[in-house]
Amino acid sequence: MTDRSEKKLNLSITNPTVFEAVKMIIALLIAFVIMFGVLCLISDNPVHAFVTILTGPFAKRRYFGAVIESFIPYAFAGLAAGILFKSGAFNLGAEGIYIISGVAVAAVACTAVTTSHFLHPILCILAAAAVGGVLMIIPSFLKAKFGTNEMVVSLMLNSIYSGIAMHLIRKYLLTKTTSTIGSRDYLKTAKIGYIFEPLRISPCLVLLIVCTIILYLVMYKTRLGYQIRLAGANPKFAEYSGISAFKLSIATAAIAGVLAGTGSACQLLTQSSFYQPDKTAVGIGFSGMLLAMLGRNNPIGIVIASFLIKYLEQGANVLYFSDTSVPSEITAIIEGIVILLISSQYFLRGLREKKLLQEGLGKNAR
Amino acid sequence: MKKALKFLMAAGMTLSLAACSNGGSAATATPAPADEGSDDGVKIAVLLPFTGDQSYFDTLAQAAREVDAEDNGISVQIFEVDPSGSADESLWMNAFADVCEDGEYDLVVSGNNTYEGFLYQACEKYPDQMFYNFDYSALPEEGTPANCYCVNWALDDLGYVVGTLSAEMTKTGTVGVVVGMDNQAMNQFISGYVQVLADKGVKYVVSYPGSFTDTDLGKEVTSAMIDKGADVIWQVAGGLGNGVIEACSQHDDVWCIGVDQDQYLQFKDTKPEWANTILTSALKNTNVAFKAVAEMVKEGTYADKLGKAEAWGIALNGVGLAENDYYLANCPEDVRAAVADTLAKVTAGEVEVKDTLEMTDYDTEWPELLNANRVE
Amino acid sequence: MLGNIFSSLFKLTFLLTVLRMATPILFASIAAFVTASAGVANIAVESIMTFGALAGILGSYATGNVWAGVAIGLLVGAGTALLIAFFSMRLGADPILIGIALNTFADSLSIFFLYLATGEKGTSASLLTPTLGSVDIPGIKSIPVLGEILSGQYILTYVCWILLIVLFIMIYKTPLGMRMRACGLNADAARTAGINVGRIRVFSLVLSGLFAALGGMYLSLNSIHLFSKGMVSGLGWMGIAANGIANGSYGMLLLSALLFAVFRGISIVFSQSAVFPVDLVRAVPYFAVFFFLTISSIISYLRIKSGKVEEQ
Repeated sequence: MTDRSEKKLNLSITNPTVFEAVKMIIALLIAFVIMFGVLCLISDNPVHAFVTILTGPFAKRRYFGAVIESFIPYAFAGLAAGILFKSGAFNLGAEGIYIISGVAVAAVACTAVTTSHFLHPILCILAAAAVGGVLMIIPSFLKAKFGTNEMVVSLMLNSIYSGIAMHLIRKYLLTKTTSTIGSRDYLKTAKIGYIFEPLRISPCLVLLIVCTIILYLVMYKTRLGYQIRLAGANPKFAEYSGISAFKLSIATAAIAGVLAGTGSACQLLTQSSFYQPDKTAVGIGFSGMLLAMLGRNNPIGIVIASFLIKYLEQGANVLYFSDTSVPSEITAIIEGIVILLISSQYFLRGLREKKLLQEGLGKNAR
Repeated sequence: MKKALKFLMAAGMTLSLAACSNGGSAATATPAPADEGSDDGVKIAVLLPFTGDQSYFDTLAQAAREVDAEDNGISVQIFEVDPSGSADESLWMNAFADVCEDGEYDLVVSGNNTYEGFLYQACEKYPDQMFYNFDYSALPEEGTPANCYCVNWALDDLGYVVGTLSAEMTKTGTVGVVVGMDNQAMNQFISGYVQVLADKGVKYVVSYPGSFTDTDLGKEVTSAMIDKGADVIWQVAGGLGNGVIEACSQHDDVWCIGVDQDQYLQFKDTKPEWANTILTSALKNTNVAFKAVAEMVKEGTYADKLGKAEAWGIALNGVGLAENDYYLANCPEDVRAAVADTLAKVTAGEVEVKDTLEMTDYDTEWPELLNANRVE
Repeated sequence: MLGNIFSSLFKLTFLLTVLRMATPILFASIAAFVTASAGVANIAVESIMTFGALAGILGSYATGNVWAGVAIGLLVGAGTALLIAFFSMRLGADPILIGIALNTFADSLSIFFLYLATGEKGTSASLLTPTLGSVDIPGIKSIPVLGEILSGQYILTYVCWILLIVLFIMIYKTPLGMRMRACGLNADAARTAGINVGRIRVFSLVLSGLFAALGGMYLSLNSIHLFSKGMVSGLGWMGIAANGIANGSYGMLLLSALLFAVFRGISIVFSQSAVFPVDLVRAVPYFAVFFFLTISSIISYLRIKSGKVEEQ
């Protein structure tokens, strides 16, 4: 019998949320210890280096601003991957979508479709979102309709889109003077400016926050979100409940594609002035998948995870400028370890199960 | 949970101890360069996106390290700002801010077609800082910034000289060039090259593998060229060029011409079989210019150069061939004379070398020039 | 012009080129295949190839002996695979996510280690390293056409061909291979039959790591004789793509790998005369997989719909 007086906040490790948080903290600590070890090997002043990585971005406003500006595209990629993974889909196409949406952004940004500084970026974002939404559906559609292996198809499409993007830029938007393949400069009206300059807060941050909130509400407060989560947790049950798996896959993929396209547009219009298909947006899609996993496919968790990771990277960058003996690749080590540890379901599982057992036994023993 | 808590507290205490022991230096991130020379020495900062491109960033970095290592009162700090080459604006502008904000460096060096936009922005933002653009493709609309000296390289002339050498050295009447990517900037290397070859009636194979890193492809592309009879092959393809050299080294009668640095010297000790096939290398002497600039800064004469944009051609030893012992030993006297003659003619302006970056109608002019005597 | 291109495809040199270029792709393909048949997806092939290539070069430099370098490369390959195994099986992480993580960090990590070893970030050119060469087989060499094909290939190419046969025998003709395939087809049934699924999968991952490392070492030790940044250039992904078409069939795997090598060979010809846009040509293998997978799943869908085949 449940004793009403026992309904207090369960802070023990048996509470799943607490467990996840504890896992995250311990994984971070392990990663920090290992990073510190590596720093001892390569730097003359490892303690200073370690502390700089952790606190560097707070030293100057523009450092923190760099974190704010750079985490946004990754957060969008994470949200896109998160919704796909939550629904049980293994569509890894976000990488290719970022690249091909970039072409759409460049195309709109380089042509004078409007002279309005307000409208031009919006049109770019819409173009990218549309392209992303449509193209992301392809692997999911094939899976839903014909049972094609969506993972392999989406991976192949990534490479295909990369080739197509290079070709399109080369053929239609090429700039003359760079020795890499790059587009012309965007028109000034297309670039997104800042609301608050020193901290580099742009409308894209607002857009991200709005999208995150909407996504959270959809996923946890609407029927569609419930269906998506159900499909991911137990596909058969979802099917037998009469949920149209087909429509759900398409809807999920479309939402993810729109998010990815938006993220691509945000990145290009705030962080660059021209588009290089093989360099500018490469790797963001895949990083988004890792972030989705770090954030446990929860929109808010994903955004926080993206911010933290970018924070660490900026810390390493700050360190690099004061001590070039530590290449900024060092954050790759932390990120790798944290990702590997967090993604493991069984990490610390033993500890939790023991505790669960204890609690169960404890109650019965009374 | 208790165990975990204890662990967390222990870790937390260790961390805070560490932070404390470092005093307050954690909060500030003043850029302190690795080699803190005396305050009256010259300090130069070089902002490159990355090194390891096996191309001219490496050449500049090498020169920077050499200048730094010499006991001449000049210290040079290299910063690799953009390892993935993404030309990310906030990354670059933050880097420039870090380096220029405190006025710590006497000279800030950067450049290259993809990234020079950021340099120009920095020139505007920090008017009191002296800059050096070590390779410009385009100048800002308003003209050369008043606090910057911009330099570019007569690559078309360089290609013309390489073409002359190839034409003289070939025994089969066919030569070849492997160019990493097909675009206007890269084609500047070979516009003079194909021009002089066509004039002399020598056939040439031009291959665009489309990559600067795929070494295996580079090797096979070159083998195919050799099958077509090419016996002097020039590589303008960064990392992919390693495959080109490998393929050339497999044939005794094929010469390879390197690029950006003296590749014979690069491989002499570690890969003699490669070094033996490299007749010479086409050099863009960013290092010569850099050293000259560093000296000027030290002597205080650099200010004269600010606001100017100059082309470093053959006359200034800006471009040229690597004339090392191997070249002298293997290149017959008359060939060298012909090359020297060409160099003189180009410097004197007697020959008009075609330049892709100056073509008004690239899309029609270039294919005409390229395919004049091309072997398909 | 097109005629020219067409005719150059039928020369012996083209066939030899294709056979050479196929070696790393074949290594990558069997790396992807062997784990897939045991039911694990290894998408980190490209990164293991990079690590193997670097480890082989650094190893042979450090020991002065190229075969010791090969051994070190193999150790690194197996080690990375064991890392994947540990995190996916012992700690329950998704092997695909681990693969993505490895691929994301492979480039920076390999450059980091190269930098530590040589102080440079581009190539290993500053290291004097012993390397592997080719082998001439005396008797076969003199046979007119076949001789050129079968003799004078790189050592690791011969290793590749031998491995192809050995792997075929292992997977299809030995009890171990049967158990592996059982794990891939129906892990639960295999477990009930008493097969240690976990151990078999780890074994398949280790094999995959070894094959991928060999593929990388072919590039750095045999073909180009140094390590160059980014030299694997998508060959690992081609192996994954070949496995994607194969869908369990060894013959299809080899055919696809060879087909991709043919595409690479064709791109050489195209590089000399701009008939087709080079970027699209490079994307052709992936498009081929996409096309093939889509068509074959549409076909099986239609067959199921028309009631000819039972839905599984």
